[in-house]
Amino acid sequence: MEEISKKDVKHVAKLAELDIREDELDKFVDQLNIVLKHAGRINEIDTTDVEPTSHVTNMVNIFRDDIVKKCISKKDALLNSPKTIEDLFEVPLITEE
Amino acid sequence: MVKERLYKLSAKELSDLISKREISSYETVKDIAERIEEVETIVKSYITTNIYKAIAAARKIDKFIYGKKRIRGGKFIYKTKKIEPLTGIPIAVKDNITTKGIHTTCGSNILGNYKPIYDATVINKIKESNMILTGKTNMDEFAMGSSTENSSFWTTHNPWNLSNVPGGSSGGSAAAVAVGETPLALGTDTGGSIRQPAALCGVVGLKPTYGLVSRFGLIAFASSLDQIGPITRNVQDCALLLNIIAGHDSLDSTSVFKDKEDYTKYLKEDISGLKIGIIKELMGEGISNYVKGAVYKAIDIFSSLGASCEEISLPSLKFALSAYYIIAPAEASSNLARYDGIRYGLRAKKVKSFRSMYRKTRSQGFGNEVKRRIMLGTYALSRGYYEAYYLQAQKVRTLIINDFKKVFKKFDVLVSPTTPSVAFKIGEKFEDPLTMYLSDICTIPINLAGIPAISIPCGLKNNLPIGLQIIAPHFEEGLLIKTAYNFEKKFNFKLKPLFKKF
Amino acid sequence: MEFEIKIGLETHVELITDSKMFCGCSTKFGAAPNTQTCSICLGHPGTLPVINKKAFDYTLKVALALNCKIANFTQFHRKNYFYPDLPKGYQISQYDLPVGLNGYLDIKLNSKVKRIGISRVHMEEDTAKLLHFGETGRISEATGSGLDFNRCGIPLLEIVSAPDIKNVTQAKAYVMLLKKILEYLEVSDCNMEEGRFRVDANISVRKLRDEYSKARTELKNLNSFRFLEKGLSYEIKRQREILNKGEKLYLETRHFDSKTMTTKSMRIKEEAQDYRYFPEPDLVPIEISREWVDEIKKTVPELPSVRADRIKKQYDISDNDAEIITSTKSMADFFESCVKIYPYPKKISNWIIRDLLYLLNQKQIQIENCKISPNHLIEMLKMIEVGKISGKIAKSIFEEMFKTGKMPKEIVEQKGLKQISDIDKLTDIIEQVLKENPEIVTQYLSGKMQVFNFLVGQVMKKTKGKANPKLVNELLKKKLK
Repeated sequence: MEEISKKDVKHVAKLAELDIREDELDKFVDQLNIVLKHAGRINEIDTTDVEPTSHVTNMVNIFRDDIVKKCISKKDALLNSPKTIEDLFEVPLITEE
Repeated sequence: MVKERLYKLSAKELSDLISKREISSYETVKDIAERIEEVETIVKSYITTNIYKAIAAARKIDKFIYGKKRIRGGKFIYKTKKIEPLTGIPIAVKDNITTKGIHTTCGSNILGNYKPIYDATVINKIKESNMILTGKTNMDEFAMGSSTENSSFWTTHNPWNLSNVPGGSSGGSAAAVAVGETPLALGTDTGGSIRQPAALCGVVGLKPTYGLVSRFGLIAFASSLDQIGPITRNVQDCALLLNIIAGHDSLDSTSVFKDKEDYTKYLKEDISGLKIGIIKELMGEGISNYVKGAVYKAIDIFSSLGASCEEISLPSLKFALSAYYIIAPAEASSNLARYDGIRYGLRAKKVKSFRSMYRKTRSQGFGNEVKRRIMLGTYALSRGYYEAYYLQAQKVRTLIINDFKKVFKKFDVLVSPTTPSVAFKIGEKFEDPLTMYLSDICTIPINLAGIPAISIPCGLKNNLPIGLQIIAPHFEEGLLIKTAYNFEKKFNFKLKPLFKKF
Repeated sequence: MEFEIKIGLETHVELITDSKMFCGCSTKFGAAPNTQTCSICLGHPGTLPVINKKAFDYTLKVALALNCKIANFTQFHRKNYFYPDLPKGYQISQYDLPVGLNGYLDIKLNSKVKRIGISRVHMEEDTAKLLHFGETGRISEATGSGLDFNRCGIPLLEIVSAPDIKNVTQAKAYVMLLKKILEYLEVSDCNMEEGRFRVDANISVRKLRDEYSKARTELKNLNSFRFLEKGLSYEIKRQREILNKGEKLYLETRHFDSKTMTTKSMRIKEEAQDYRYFPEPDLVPIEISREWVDEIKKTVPELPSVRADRIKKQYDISDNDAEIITSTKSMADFFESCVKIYPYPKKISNWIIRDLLYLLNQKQIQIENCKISPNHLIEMLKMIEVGKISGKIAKSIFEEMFKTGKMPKEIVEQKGLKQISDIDKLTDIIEQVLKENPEIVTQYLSGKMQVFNFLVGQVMKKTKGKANPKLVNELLKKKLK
């Protein structure tokens, strides 16, 4: 299996919205490689004709009826928000769509 | 009058006394509160205690228990005829289960001062059963860890040896039960997080079949693996608590429709004729000799009780750890994407744009282990790597499920050690992720298969507990209870971190 | 230089279920911000989704109406990306197992039919509404932004066309027909202005016989028919000009700027976004049985084109009239309800197209919300038929019915609009008119035929329009002999 590079870690951190400082980068790369090497062993096993398991229960078709339930109050909705503005959840400047 | 300190009693013993009206719920909670005061600064099981509210709740329940009404002839009788099991009994809950209005942290900084606006379904069930919440227990951040050292608050200390870890990620719950800070606790298990700390703390921990207990209100780590389960002093308490938390929930699409069972009925049965398989792959390299020794002794006990024991093999087990460390981080990387500082939790200050707010908030709020797993998971799902990692891991999962299915055709239950060794020293494995991950090799395959398993104490090494794991097929928690109870009676393990030192 | 144009349209449609896709919150439009939310659609930790069955049924309905192949087995996937309007940091959507695949839509262009492929129909959840404070509400000029989660979690249907659309006319026809079909199915009100029907376009222009270029523009913010038209036209023109200059086109996302009526680049994508799709672990898969599909098939009504053809043939109505009658399901239903009671389709269609439609447009209301019912119209037509009222009076009665909802008989009573067909009465009035207009009479008698109408007019004036025009004509002619 391929090793994960500094570039990979930077890319993946970006995808996950994490800032990794330069001084931490090497350590993370090393640690991730150790784990990945071990995890990559799954490619040693033959899985031809094996279906992947996404769900452990064998259930299908679980639905709910289209019935309206009482909503929470605006107060409760905004209760835990670090910053609100005029009954909306505040978001700092959006620079892209 | 009861002479012993109430914290030393099991939940069943307390429940019997309460329903006979020999003690009150208030007295029980008061004694637990005192115990917490005695040992909490040393053990540090809790993140948040709920004592004042607990005492108020206890008084309310006592009104219900002791409320009298007048009948003909000028006599008084109690209004409540039957007092259900566990009424008025204290319980501690791991801090990744939402409790309305009570600070919930998941062991992380990123949730800030979050107070959930709803109760988890299991909390509703606990409230309906008139149990009393003592507080929220310490855990590895977002349940990622096997020692509770990854908590962003503090490390919980193993009551058997304070320099050692209690295990994780439900370390707080296990330690609290072991030291008497609560008779009952709820933990969660994704790769062993109930069973492993239960083993290291000398208590009983059960991971139910996936889907038996509702996940609504369980703050997700890995959605296809997580389950809530009991951590208790003994098997009987475990059965009582399981009775309350199990059951279908329409708010959880993965919760199964199953007829309600009374798990305490299995306490009466014996295990003669039970066919037990010993997992070869978990009794070899990587397991300490003294652990193997304890497990073999346990097998002798099973044989003496009429069970037949035989070695079995689950060949795909050697890939279980690898598959788990792809699947769990992958799901976690997605589950943890909601922590962005907008609707709740920590929010980084002095940010110029929403992207920088996301990055700063998440980088400040998450610890290193969480960051590692998020990156690992993101990588495993990313373009170009999905097939080789995530998809392949899901296929390996199928193989593991099939291995268990095959073996359960011939055997009723399986046994193995719960952990490769007893509790290690605090700091010993902390900086070494892979070594830490390897402590889960016995427990992880069970989560991948979605089957139930229980850990019960089966010995000591240097006064540190050794855990035995019993595994059953889907929805056969009854078999676990039966097997574990019979062993427990014969083995007679003394839960002794309650020593004079405290 | 010859060009090949390929346009694919991606449509997002909000379904009109009572509750949201994965939770029980109300979907009613127009509520105060953040008053229709719960811990689930706010993406609180520990919450889980449960699928709204009706939303799923509606999706099946649409997929069937668009002639798609219905999957036997389908699943939800997580589409992972970070954006403030996405509370969980992922959208529950569908990836490689959508509900419907490989369908089509036949659009009519000047009596020719062109088939536009429908690649897929799938379900997902809508995002929150991002509001920008600042004068224009445009992102680039915002001084701050806020989120309203009322919309978050509303069931959303995604309909993706194949890149079979070749020009703006076809694009418009496709969108109009799609809207009509969805409206007929009663699964959405397709209101573009309120954001319940959103269209994004993928446009690629390349030189004919050129090697296949991967360049393609994704065009967003086509919030109305007008924007759609202008945006597509501009973009096609822009791409052609670039190619003519010999320059390269890129894979990019552009935004339609309604102020300048041009498209502006938002970002050049080096590569498409990596959404890291994986099966949604919190939702079990769905098996769509034959029985279920058959059940839904029964709820699919006669679709617009089919209905227009049938109405045309069955009632002998013109092509154009049939199109107008079937422009909405309610109008077609209204028409056919009328014809059932009173089998004079031409009369009915005239009144609907000429008079009712005019009033509906004027007041900006839909036929199903107006006060006139088929019974109103029929009663009025019957009164005209037996001569109780004149055609001219009927027009004012019609307007009154529209305003008040009163039945025509009642209006005629109240306002005394009964047609005057009493010969004696009319004769009296005619004699009066002739007396008052001697010069006109002279003119008529000397051969000026046109003034006859003036005299008729005077009679009508005296009777406030109530005189039976046919009779007036006859009697007046007689008198003037």
